[in-house]
Amino acid sequence: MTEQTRARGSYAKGVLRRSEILDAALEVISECGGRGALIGDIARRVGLTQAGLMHHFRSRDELFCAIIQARDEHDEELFARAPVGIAGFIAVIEHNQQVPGLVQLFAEYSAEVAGDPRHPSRAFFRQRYAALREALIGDVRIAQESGEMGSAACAPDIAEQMIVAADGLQVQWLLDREVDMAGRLRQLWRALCAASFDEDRGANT
Amino acid sequence: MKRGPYAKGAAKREEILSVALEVVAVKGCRKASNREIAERVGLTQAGLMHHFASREELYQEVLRARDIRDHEMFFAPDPTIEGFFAVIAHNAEVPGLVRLYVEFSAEASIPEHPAHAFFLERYAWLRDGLSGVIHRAQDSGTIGPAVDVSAAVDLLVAAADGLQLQWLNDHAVDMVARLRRLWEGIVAVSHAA
Repeated sequence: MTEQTRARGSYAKGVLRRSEILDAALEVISECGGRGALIGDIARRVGLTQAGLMHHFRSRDELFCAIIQARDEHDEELFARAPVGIAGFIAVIEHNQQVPGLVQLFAEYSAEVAGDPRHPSRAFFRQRYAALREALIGDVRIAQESGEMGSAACAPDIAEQMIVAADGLQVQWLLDREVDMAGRLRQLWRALCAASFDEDRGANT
Repeated sequence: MKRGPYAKGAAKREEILSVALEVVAVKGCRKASNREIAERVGLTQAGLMHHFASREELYQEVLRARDIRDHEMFFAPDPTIEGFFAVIAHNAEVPGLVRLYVEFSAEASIPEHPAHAFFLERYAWLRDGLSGVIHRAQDSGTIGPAVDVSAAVDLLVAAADGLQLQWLNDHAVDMVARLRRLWEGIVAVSHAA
């Protein structure tokens, strides 16, 4: 019993420490991101050595995935808790302008993972894209029910268009901060809505 | 006489880049690629790097050489949207170059990166080319007047970039079909009142 308590106690402490590290990581990275020099900065912020920090994460890859996941959870709480439709997704992208380092980390790391078929984080990104696609398919259906988008539109197709545009726009924005990611996504959404009504008309004639 | 060594260096650089394009197309930009490039042009790896200031410069020049070749093959002299689709279709044949482009462009997005200026220049060049494509499509009537050209261009570039990432994750992704859908969307709004 004492054994168990102690075990659970240190486990809980580990979990707490981990989430404290992730909070610090989100802060550090949102200011200045990218993969380089990152681990050292995070460790310094939480008063650990790099080795001490890596005691809480099995690897650099586990740390990066945990950071991206913590960011996603945070964004979901802020912007997408209620079924707000596509506006929730666009709000997340708009918020990204406040956290360039996280955008940088995501862009670099997702590219690194995509480029290496044997990368340990491939499953993480596969699941993340699948979940995002599902969420966006839900947004498309909301728009179809409200009549904002035509009924003939293929929801998974529209979801994919939004995802690739958001990924591509983030890289453009990192290079040139004048790029209006959210504005461009709204324009894309309107174009996809317009095309869906053309499709509806095509199906009816 | 004086031009001799410079011209020779420039010729060697061209040779390296054309070999590098072939090697990277298949293998990407791993350490092994540098070794193979050096071997095929009859240089040591140190000798190879004598022609380029850094690894970053070599890969930046590989991407530039790729752009020039793609432009000649698919885009010149009067680029159309079909030419852009043809470039993207060709990308599926050169996975290593796609990998290099996706990784290097993400990495180079920080201002301190040695290839940052190259990518800024490249996006400006690409936007310019695609603006021309849209204006010509308007002249010929394939696309309507009500189109925000700079938005359409940004979205085409973003989709092409985002699709390359998705395609690296899953080669079943049909990049050209997706881009055609986007183009249809742009055409649909362009006819809106």
